[in-house]
Amino acid sequence: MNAIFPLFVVLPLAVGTFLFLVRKNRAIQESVSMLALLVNLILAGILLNATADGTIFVHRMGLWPFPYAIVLAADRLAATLLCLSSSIVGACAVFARSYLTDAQRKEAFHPLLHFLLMGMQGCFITGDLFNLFVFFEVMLMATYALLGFYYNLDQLEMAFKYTCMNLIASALFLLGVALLYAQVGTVNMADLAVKIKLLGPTPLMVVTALVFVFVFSVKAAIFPMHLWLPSAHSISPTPISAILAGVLVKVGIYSIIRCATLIFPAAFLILQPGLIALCLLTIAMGALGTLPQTSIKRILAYSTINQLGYIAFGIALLSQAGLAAAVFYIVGHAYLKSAMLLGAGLNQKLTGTVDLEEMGGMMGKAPFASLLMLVGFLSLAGFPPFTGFFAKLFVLQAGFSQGAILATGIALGFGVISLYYNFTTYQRYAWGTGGGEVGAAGAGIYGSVAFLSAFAVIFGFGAYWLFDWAQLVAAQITNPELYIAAMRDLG
Amino acid sequence: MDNTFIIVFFPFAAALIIPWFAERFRKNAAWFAMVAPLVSTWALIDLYGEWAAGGQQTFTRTIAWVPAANVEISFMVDGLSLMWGFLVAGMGALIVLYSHWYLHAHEALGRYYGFLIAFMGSMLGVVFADHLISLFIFWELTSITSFFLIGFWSDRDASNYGATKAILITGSGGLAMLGGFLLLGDVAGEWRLSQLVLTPGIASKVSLGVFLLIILGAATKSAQWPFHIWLPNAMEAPTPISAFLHSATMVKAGIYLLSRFYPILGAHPAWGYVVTGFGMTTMIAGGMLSLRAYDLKAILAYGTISQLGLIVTFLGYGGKGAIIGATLHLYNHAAAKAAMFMTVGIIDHEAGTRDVRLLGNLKKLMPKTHILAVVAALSLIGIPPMGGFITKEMLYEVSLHPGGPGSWAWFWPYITVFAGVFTALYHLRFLSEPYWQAAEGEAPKHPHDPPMGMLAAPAILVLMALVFGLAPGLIENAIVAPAASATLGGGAKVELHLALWHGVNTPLIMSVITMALGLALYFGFAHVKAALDACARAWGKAPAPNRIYDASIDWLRNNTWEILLLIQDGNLRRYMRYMMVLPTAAALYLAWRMDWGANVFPDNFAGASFLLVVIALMIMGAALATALFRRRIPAILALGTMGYGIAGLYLLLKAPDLALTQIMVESASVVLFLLVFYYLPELKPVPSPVAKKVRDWGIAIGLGVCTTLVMAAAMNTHKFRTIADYFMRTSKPVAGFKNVVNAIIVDYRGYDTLGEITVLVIAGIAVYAMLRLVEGFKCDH
Repeated sequence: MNAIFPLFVVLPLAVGTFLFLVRKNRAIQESVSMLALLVNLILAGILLNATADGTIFVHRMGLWPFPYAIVLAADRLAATLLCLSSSIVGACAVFARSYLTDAQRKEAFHPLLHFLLMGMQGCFITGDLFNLFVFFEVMLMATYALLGFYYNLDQLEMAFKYTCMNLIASALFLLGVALLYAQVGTVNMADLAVKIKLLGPTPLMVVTALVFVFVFSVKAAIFPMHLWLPSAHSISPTPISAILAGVLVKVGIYSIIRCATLIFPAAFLILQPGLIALCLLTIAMGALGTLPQTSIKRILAYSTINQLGYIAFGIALLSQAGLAAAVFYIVGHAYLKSAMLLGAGLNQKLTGTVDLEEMGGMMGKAPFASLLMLVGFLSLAGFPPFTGFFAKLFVLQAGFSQGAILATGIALGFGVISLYYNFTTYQRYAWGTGGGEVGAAGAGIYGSVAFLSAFAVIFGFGAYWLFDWAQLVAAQITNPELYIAAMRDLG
Repeated sequence: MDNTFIIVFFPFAAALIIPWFAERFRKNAAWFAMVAPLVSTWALIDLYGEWAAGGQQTFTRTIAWVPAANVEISFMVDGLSLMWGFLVAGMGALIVLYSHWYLHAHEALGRYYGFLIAFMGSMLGVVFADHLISLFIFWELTSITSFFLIGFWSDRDASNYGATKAILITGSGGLAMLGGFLLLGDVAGEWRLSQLVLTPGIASKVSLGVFLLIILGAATKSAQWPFHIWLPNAMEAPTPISAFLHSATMVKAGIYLLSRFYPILGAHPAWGYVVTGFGMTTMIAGGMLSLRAYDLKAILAYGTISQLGLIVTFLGYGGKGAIIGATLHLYNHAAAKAAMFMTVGIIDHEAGTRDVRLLGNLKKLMPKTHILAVVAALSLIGIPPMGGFITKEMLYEVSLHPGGPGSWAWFWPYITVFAGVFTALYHLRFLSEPYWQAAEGEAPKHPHDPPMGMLAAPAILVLMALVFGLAPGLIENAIVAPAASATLGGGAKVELHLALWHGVNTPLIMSVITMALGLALYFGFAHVKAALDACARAWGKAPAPNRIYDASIDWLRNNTWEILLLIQDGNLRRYMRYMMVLPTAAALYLAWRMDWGANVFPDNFAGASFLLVVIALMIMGAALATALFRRRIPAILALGTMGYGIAGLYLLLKAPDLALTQIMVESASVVLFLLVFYYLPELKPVPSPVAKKVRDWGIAIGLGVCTTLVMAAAMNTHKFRTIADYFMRTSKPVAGFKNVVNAIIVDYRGYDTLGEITVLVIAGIAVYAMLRLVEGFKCDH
C-alpha cells in the first residue's frame, strides 16, 4: 500500500492525458473515463479499509530521507476524503454524461475532470506544505477551465473573478510558506510540527498561523474570504458546481484541519476566539445570503457557506468531539450538497430553469424529482432522521459540552433562518401553481442524483457508523505524534 | 417485537406503503390507512396489560442509535404516556374514518394518508420518548408532518402561508428546546426522562436561560400567546387534520412536555411565573379573539388556544389538584373539540362555507349535525351530565384549594370562573350563529345532513364525552389517575372518585354563577362585541404578534437584498479589497495584542551592500511604475524591469543559475505579453476620484509594509538549520547534479515540478477548448 497510494495522483494524470489524446473517439473516451473513476473509487475504498486499524501510509518521493523528500501520507482523514472525492466526482461524471449535450464540449470535459481529481487527491495525500501549494495550483487551473465551460459572458466573468480571488490565496500561501521556512527552515508537515512545537507559539508564529487560516479560508469559503463562492457555485455548469460544493471546498477545510491539529495546534489555541467569531460570521453571511435569492443554485451556494461555517465551527472548538463532529459534517454535507446541486441540474433539464419565480407545483409534475429535493431540503434544514440533523446535533453537543455556550447558542439560533430558507424554497419549488410543462431527464441523471441523495438517508439511519468512523478519524488527528512518527520512522 | 416499537414504528412503516395502496384503491384508501391506528391501539392495549400486570411500574425500552454521541431511540411506559397513547391512536382511527367521507376520491389521498399516519407515529413517539434526543426527534417529525398536512392543498396561497408560519414558529421553538435539552443534559448528566424524574434537585441546578428554552418549545407548540398566531392559519388544512393535529393532539404536545417536566423542573423558581403567565395571557387573548372571529374554524381555533391556555395555567400553578384537573380537562377537551371540528367540517362540506355570516338555521337543515354540535359544546361549557361538567367542577374545586404556593390563592377562583364564562360565551356563539339564528348572507350550497358514515366519528366522540360524565368510573382510575400520578412524580399515587353530583358546594355555586354570567353576556352579545371592537381599535396599529411576524418575514424577503449588496455586489475590486484589508487588519490587531519582546527585527540591515540597496530601489521603482503607467506596453516593460531586478538579487546572492532562469522566464513573458497586446484594444482607464485613489494607494502601501515587516521579523529566527543544507551537501555525491537548483527541480522536489507542468498542460487544454468552442472564434483553415 505504501508504494501504491501515490496512484491517486498518477492515475488521474495518466488518464486525463490519455483522454485528451483520444478526444475524437467519444466511446473510448467516455468508457475509459468512467472505468478510471471506478478504479479510483475502488482504490480509495481499499485504502480506507487499510487505514481503519490506524495505520498511516507513507511514501517518500524519490526515496530521499525524511524530511528532505516530498513525503506523501495517507491517514484515516485523507482516506475518508479520497473516498468522498472519487465517489462524488464519479457520480458527477455519470450525471454529466447525459447532462452535457454538446459533443464538442465533452471533448475537453473528461480530461479536465481527471486533472481536477488529480489536484484534489494530490492535496489530500501530500504531507508537504509546499507540495500542497502546487496541487492547489493544479486544482485552481482545472477549476478555472471547467468553471467557464460554456464560455458565455457570465461564466467568463465569474471564472475571471474566481481566479483573481484565488490568486490572492496563492500569494498569501507563498508568503506563509516563506514565513515558515524563514523561521524553521523546512516545509514537511511533520517536520514543521516538530520544530514549531519546539519553537513554541511565538507572536510571529501565531501571525503565520493566521496567514494560513486566511489562505485556506479562501478555498473553504470562510468569512471574509467566501466572496467568490456564490457566483462560482451557481453560474458554473451544474456537474462542476456539484464537485465544487461537494469536494473542492472540503480541500480548504481539510487543510485547516491539518493546520489546527498537526502544524500549529498551539497557535490555534491562541487564535481560537477569533476563529469562532469568523465561523459565526460565516454562518450568518451564508444564512443572510440565501434570503433574497430566487435561483435554486444560488440559494444552495449560500447555504454551502452557511454549512461550511458550522463545519469550521466544529474544527474551531479544537477538541476531539468538535473534530469528530466536523468530520461527520464534512462527509454528510459533501454528499448532500452535491446531490442537491445535481438535483437543481435535474430540474434544469426538466423545466429549463432553476429560477423559483418560473417554477412551481413540481410535487405533482415530477414527483420523484421533488421527493429527492425534499430529502435534501429536510436534511439541510437539520431535520431528523437525515444526516443534516446529526451533523448539526454533534457540532452543538460538542460546543455546549465544552462550555462555549454563547457561541454555540448563536450557531443554533441561525437554524431558524435555515428553517426558513429551506422550507420556503421547497414550497416555491414543489407547491403552488406556477411553472410550465415538464420535460424528461435521462436515467443517468436521475440515478446519480438518487445515488448521492441516498447518503442523506444512509448516513442518517446509519449515523452511528459514520460517527464511529469520524471519532476514529478525530482520535488519530488529535494525536499528531502518530502522524509525525509514521513519517519519521516508517518512511 | 416489543409493543412500544410496534406502537410507534408500525405507523411509519405503514405510511411508506399507504401511498401505493391509496393510488390503487382510490375510493377505499382510508381502510388501508385505518390498519395503522388499529394496530397501534391493539398494541397499546397489550402494553397496558403488561404495565398493569407489572404493578404499574414505569419501564423503558431502548434502541441504541449513535451511542458515542448519546443518541438513542428509547421509550418509557408509564401512566402519562399510556394515556396519551390511547388518545393519539384512538383519535387517529376516528380521524381516518371521518376522512373517508370528507375527502374526494380525486384528491391526493396517498399523500394525505401517508402524512397523516406518519404524523400519528411521530406523535406516539413524542409521548413515549424517554431520551431527550428521542423526544426532540419525534417532536420535529410532528412539525414536518404538520407542515405537509397544512399545505395539503398546496396550490392555495393561504395553505402555503399557513404551513410556513407553522413550521417557522414550531420549528424555532423546537430549536430552542433542543438547546435547552442539550444544556439540561450537560447540567444533569442524565438524558433519560425516566431517570431525570428520579434525580433530585435538577430544578435548582438549571439556569433561567435553559428553563426558558425548554418552556419556549412547549409554548410554541401549544400555541401560547404570542406564539399562537400559527394555529389559526394552520386551519387551512383539511378539517380532519385540524381536528386531529390542531385541536386534539399536536397542539397538546406542549402540554405533554410541561406535564413531563413538571416533576423535573416544577420546583424551578420561574416555573410558576412563566408557565402561569403564558397560560393566563393565552386564555384571555384566545377567548377575546374567538369572539371576534367569523370563520367557524377560526372560532374553534381561538377557542382551542384559550383552552390550552387554561390547561397551561393549571400546570403552571401546580400541586396535586391542579394537575388532576388539567389532566382531566385535557382528555375531555380533546374529545369534545375534535367532535366540534368534525361538525364544522360537515358544514363546510355540505354548505360550501364556514363563514357564520353566511350560515343560518342549520338547526332545521342539519338536525343530526346540530345535535352532535350541541352536545359537544355543552360538554366543553360544562353542563351536566356531560364529562365536561365533571372536569369543570374539578377545576373549580382545585381553584379553591390550590396545591401550589399560596401567594395568589385569592385570585384563583376568580380567574377560573372568568375562563368558564369566556368558554360558555364563545361556545354559545358557535352554536347560535350558524345553527339557531338566521343567516345574513347566503351559503354557496344548500346545506343538509351528511351521510351517516360522516357522522359516525363525531358521534363516537360525543358519546365518549357523555359516558365520561355518566360513568366516570370507567376511566378515572384506569387511565386518568395514573397519568396524573406520573405528572406529579415522586411516587405519588392518585385515587379519583369522580361523580356528577357532589351536593351543593362552592364549586356548584361557581358553576351556576358561570352559567348565569355566560347567558347574560350571550344575550347582551351586541355590547360585548362593541366593547371588543373598541378594544381592537384602541390596540390599533400597535405591534400585534401577527404584524410582527409578517413584518419580519417581509423584512427578510425585501431588505436582506440591500444588506447583502453591501458585501456581495459582484464588484471584484470590492471583493479584493475585503479579502486584503480584513485579514491584514486581523493580523495587525493580533500583532498589537501580543508581546513581541525586544529584537523583533534582525539588526544586520546595515550589512547590506550598496549594490543590494540599488537593486532593491530599482525593484521598488519598477513596481511603482507598473502601477502608475496607464498604457499597457510601458507597464509591462516596467514589470519586466522588476523581474530583471530580482534576477540581479539572485546574482548578488551567488545563485547564477537561478538568475539565468529568472531572466529567461522574464524575457519570455514580456515578449509574449507584447505579442498579445498587439491584438488587444488600447486600455481606457476610468478616472477615479481622489478619495478612492488615496484609499487604494493606502491599501497597496499598507500591505507592502506589513508584508515586509513580517518577513523581516521572520528572518530573525535562527533556531533551526534549513533543509537547504542537506541539498547542498548531497546534490553532487548522491543526486549527481553539479547544480543544486537543477537537483531540487528535477530530483528532490521533482514531484512539485510534475504538478507545475500539469498546470501548464491544463492551461493548454483550456485554451484548446476555448478556441474550439467559443462561437464566432473559428479559424479559417
